Amino acid sequence: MLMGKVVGTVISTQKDPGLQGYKLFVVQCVDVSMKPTSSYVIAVDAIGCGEDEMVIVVQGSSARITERTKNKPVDAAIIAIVDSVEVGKNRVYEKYKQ
Amino acid sequence: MDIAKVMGTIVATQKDPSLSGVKICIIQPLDQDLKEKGKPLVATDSTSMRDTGEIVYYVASGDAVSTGTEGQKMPVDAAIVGIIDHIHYKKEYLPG
Repeated sequence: MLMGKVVGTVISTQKDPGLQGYKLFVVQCVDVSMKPTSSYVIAVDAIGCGEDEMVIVVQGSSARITERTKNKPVDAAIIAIVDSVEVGKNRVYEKYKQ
Repeated sequence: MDIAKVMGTIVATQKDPSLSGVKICIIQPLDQDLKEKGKPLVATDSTSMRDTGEIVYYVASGDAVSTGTEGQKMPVDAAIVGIIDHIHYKKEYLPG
């Protein structure tokens, strides 16, 4: 999976019927020290997250295993909102300290 | 399957229901000489017997990934499936 920050929303009225009613978020991936990288992913929101949240994105066929994205044309889905991240012994991200 | 080193852990309370009780960690893929190969990625650990610094092996493709310990389906594309105790190469097949 990837970890990244929700930095934008994609509004699209003309799209595959399978994506009707789904929120599409732009997620900017972060590296291990939580610094934004240059890679972006457009992911379907499967759990109800919002802007500026650190999230985990699953890609590939596994993205169609969540309840909401079953049999939908989706290959990237947001499956978790990150509360905190520890790398080695130090905490590099804390949701409520941002 | 590939070898990786566990670098850190992620706590996420709000997540897909099938992921409840499953630990999420950050792993760094390693090559056969246990040197870093490629970028770190996020993986689940349903066996939950690892801690930071542990050398593990993980699955990252196909159906094996999204099958939990009790066979339930999980929206996951990288999952740790075990810890490596030691690796033994036969002399004539020594890499590099």
